[in-house]
Amino acid sequence: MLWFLVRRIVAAVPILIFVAVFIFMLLHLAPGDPAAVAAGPNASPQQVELLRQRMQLDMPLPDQFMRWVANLARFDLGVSIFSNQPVSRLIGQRLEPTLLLAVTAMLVAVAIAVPAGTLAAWKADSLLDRVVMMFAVAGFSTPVFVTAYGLIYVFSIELGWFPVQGYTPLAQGILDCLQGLVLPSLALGFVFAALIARVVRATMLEILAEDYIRTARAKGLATPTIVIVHALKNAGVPTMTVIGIGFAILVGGVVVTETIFNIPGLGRLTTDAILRRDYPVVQGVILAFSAMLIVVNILVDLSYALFDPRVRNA
Amino acid sequence: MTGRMKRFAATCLGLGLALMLQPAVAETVLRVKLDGELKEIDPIWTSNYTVRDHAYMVYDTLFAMDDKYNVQPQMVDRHAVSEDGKTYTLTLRDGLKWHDGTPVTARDCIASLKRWGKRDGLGQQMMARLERFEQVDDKTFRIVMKENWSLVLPALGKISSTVPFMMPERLANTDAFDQVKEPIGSGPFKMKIDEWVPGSKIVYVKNQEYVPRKEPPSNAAGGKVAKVERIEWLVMPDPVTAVNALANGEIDYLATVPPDLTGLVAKNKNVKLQVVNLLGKQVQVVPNHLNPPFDNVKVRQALQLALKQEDYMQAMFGKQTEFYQVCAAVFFCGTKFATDIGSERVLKQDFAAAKALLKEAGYDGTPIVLLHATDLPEQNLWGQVGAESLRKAGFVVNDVTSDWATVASRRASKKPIAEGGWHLFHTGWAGPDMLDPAVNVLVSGGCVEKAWFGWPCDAELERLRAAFASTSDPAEQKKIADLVQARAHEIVTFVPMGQFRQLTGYRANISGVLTAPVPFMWNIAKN
Amino acid sequence: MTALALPGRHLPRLPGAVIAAGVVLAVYALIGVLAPAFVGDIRALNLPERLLSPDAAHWFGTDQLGRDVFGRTLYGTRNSLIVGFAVAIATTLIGVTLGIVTCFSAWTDRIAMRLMDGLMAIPGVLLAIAMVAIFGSSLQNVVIAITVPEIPRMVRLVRSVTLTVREQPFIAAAISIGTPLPRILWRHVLPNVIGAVMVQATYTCASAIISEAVLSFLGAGTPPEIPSWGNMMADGRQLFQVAPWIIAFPGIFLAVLVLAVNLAGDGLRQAIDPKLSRRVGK
Repeated sequence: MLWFLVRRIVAAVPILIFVAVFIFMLLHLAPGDPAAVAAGPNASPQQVELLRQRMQLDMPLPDQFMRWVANLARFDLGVSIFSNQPVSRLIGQRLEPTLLLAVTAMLVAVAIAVPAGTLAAWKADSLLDRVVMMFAVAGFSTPVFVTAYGLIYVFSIELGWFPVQGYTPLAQGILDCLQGLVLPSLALGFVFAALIARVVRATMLEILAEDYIRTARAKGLATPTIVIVHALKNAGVPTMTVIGIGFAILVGGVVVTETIFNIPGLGRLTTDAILRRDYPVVQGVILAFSAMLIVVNILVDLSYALFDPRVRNA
Repeated sequence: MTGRMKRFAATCLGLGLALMLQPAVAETVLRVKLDGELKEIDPIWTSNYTVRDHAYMVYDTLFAMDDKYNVQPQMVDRHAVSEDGKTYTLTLRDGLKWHDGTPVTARDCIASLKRWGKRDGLGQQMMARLERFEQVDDKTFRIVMKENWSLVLPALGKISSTVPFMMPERLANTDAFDQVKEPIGSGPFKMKIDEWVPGSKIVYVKNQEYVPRKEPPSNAAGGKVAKVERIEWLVMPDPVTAVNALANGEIDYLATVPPDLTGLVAKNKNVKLQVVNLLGKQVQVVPNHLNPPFDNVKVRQALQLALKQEDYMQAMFGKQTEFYQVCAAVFFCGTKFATDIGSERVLKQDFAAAKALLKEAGYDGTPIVLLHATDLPEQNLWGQVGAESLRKAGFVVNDVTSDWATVASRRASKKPIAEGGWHLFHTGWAGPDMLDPAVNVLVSGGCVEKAWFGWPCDAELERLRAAFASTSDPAEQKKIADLVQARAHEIVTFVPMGQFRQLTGYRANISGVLTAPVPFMWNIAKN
Repeated sequence: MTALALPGRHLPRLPGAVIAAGVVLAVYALIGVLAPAFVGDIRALNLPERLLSPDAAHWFGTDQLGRDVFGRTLYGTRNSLIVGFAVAIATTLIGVTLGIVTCFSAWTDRIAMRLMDGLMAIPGVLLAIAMVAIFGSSLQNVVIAITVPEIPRMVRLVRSVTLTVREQPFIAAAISIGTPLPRILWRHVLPNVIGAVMVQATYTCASAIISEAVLSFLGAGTPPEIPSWGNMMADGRQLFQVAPWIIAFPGIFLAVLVLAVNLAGDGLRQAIDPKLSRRVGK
C-alpha cells in the first residue's frame, strides 16, 4: 500500500513539470500583457512602455522562466503582478470556498444519484427506470449556468429562501456558510448526479446478475436487502471512478458557478487572472489545480482498496 | 427522545435564541459595491478609476475640487502666491497624521508630488515648468515655477486620475513605476490590508485620528467626516447579482445600477436611486492617425459621419432618455467650456456623405481593424454598434474581438496593421478628466512622442493648448477652448459618442450620499 | 464541460428516445444549413425595438440591441453544430492516430502518454479559457481550445481498445506472414477500434457544444458578430429578470440539442455493442 502511494506520488512529478512548462509558454506567447492593463485605461502610451520595462516583461523568455522555476523549487509561487500579494496567500484565501463547494456538490450528487441509480437498476426496463435515465441524460445535457439561473430565480428571488449570491466563511458560522452553498451546490450537483446515476445503474445491473446474488435470492432474502447489503457495496468501485473523473469536470463547473454566485473561489481567481495576464497567479493556480486533480485521483485509487476486497488483498 | 437528548436540544435552542437576541454589534458596517474590482492599491502607479475610488478613502489631497469645480484647500491650511505668480507657499493644517501614527510633514508632500509628477499627464507638464520645491519648515513648503503657469492649483486639486494623493515620504520614495507596498495615507479611512481578499473583499475602518475640515463637504472639498466604523467593499463581477444583493439588503450601496435593471429595484421601498455622478461619462471612438486610411483626414471625417450617438446611447439605455444626452462638446456638456462649435459632422449620421468622402479619399476597402473587448459588457455593446454603422457607411470592418487585456496592449502599438497595429478602439472617459484643454488628452496633437493613443499630430492644437495653460483670464480661456474644440473636430482626434449618467442605488437607511463624480464614502451614515 | 467517457454500459433500450433524438438532430441540421438563407441579416441592429417580449413579430422577443432572438437562436444552431462536429472530428483524427501509433511504438508511447497525463491534469475549462484569451476569439480558436483538452480522453480510449486488439491471434498471424505495419493498422486494427471511437466522438460532440456555450458565456468564446447560444446567453444574463427570453430560448435549444446528441450516442453504443445490450435484458 505504502509502496503504491510512493510510486504514484513520484509519477506525479513529471506531470507537474509538464504542466508548469506548458502553462508558462502558453501565457507568455499571449499578445496581451499585464503592463497595459495595470497602467489603467487612461494611461498614456509612454507610461505603458515605461511600466512594461519596469515589470521586466521585456526580459528574454528563458530568463523569465528560469527565474520562475528557481522560485518554484523553493516552493515560492511568486507575487501577483497587480495586488502584490503572494500567490500562495491568494490561493490559501480561495481554497476553502472552492473545496467546500466541490465537496457539497459531490455530496448532493451522490445523495441523488446512488438511490436513483439503484432504483432504476432494481426496476430495470420499467417506466421508472426510463424516467430516471431520461432525467439523467437531460441532467448532464443542461449547462450548469442554465440550472443555476433557474434555481436563483425560483429559490432566491421568488421564494427568498436563500441568498442570491455571496459566501460566508466557515469560521463565521456553519449554518450561514451552508445556506449560501445550497443553490451553488445544487446547480453543480445536478450535472454530476446525472453522470453518477448512470454508472450506479449499470454496475448494479451487472452485479444483480452475478451468481452470489442469485444465491442470496434463492436463499429467500428479500430483494431490498440484497440490493442494499450486497450489491450496493460492490457498486462502490465504479462509482469512485466516476467521482475521480468527475472531479475534473467539477472544476470546470466551479468556474461558472463561482462567477454566477459570486463565490470568491479558485475558479474565479484563475479566470480573473487570465483576463488581466497576471502571470504568476495563473501559473500558480493552474499548478495547484493540477496537483489537486492528481491527489484526488490517488485518493480514488486508494479508495478502491476500501471498497473492493480483491484489490485490498492484492 | 431521551432526557439527555432533550436537554441537549434545549441547550441548542437556548444558544440559538441567545445569539439571535444579542444586540447588533455596535459598530456600523457599510457594505458597498463600487465600479470595477480593486486589483492594485497604488493610485499613482495606475490611472484606473477603481483604484482612484479606493484611494479617496485612504489618502488625502493638498487641494480639492468643490461643487463648482473650483479648487479649495484640503490638507493645506493657508496658501499664498507670489506677485509674479511663480511661487506658491503652502502650509499644512494642524493635526494631520499618517495611518502609521507619524505626523504629516512638508517633506512627505514634496516626495509625493515628485512621484505623482512622473506619472500624471498634468503632473508631467507641471514638473517640466518647475524650478524647485523648497521645504520651509515641518509644515510649510514652496513650489517655485520657472514661469507663471496658471494650472498649478488645478493640477494639485485634480479630482480624477491621476490624483496627487499624499503619502509618507518613505513610501513616496518608491520608484514611480513600482507599486507602493503599503496603503498608508492620511485619509478618513484606513485600509485593513490583512483583511483584503483580492477579487472578493476590501475592508476599511474609520481613521479615528482624522481631523476633518470645518466646512461642509462639497465634492472632494470640505470636511471629510467618516460616519461609519467600517466599510466592506464587496467585489461582484455579475451586475445582476449586485442588483439583487442591493434589493435584499446584502449590500447598502451600489455605485452603478445597470440601466436595464433599474426596474428591478425602482419599486423596492428599501432602495433609493439617485444620480450621484452628475457629470457622468462619455463614450469615445479613437482613430489611429498613423495607419492608412485613417492617416487621411477625409477618412476620419467619414468616420464622424458614419457613427450616431443615439445608437450608442440607446444600446445602453433604451427608452430611458433622461440618462443620456447627445453632445458634441469635447470638454463635456454642462460645463463652462461646453460648446457645439465644429460639430456638424459629429452630430449628423449621413452614410451617403460618408461614402462620398471615402471615395474622395480613395479608400480602397482596406479592412478597418476595430479593437473590440468582449469581456467588458459596455465595451462589447459599443463594439457591436460601431462595427454595424461603419459597415453601413461603406467601411470594410475587421471586428477584432478579444479580452480587454489584449485591446489594452494592442492599442499601444504604433505599428502598421500587418505587424499588429490597429485602426479604431472605443473608450470611456469620465467628465472630470475632460474638463479643459489641459487635462483632456483626447484633444492633444502631440504626435507619436506626446499624444495619447491614436497619436494625432497637429501643431495648431499644441499651440492652442500651450496658450491655454499660460493664461488665467477666464474669457481668454473660453475663447481658446472653443478653438481647440473646432480644431479637434476638424482633424478628428476622436469622435464623442454620447454623454451619460448612471444611477447609484442605496438602501433607505443610508443618508449623506454626496453628489460627486467619484463615489466618496465619507459623510455617508447608516441608521 | 461534461465528460461522457464513462463506463456507463448497459443502458435500457430506448428505441423511442433514439428515434426522437434522430428526428431532433435532423431538424437541427436542417435549421443549421438553412438558417443563413431565411434568417436575414443577423447583425442588423434595431435599437428602437430593443428588449421586446415575444410576440407575433418576434417569436422569441428581441435582445438588448433590438435583434430578433428567434433568428439569432436559429443561426446559433449552425454555430453549435459546426463547433460540435469540428471538435469531434478533430479529436477523433488526432486521438485515433496517436492512440494507435503509441501502441506499436514504445518510445512514442512513453512520450505521448506523459503528455496526455499532463494535459489531463489541467482543468479543461481553464485551459480553454486561457487559449481563447491568448489567441483571440475566433471560431477557429474556439474549436482548437475545446479540442486540446478533449484529446487525452480519446487517446486513452483508443489505446486501451488497441491494446486488446493487439493481443488477438490474427494480429500475430498477420505480423508473422510479414504484413507491413501500416497495413496491419489500417486493415486489422482500425476496423476494430472504430466502433468505440464513434461512440466516444458522439459524446465529445455533445461535450464540445456545451463547452462552446460555457466559453462564450464567460466572455472567452465565439466572437459576438457570430450569434452563438453561449454569447447570446452571456449578453442576456444581465437581463435575465427583465428579459428572460434572451437567455431561455438559446438555453432550451442548447439543452435539447445536447440531449439529442447524447441519446444518439447511447443508441449508437447499443447498436455497436449488441452483446452488452442483450445481456441487459436478463
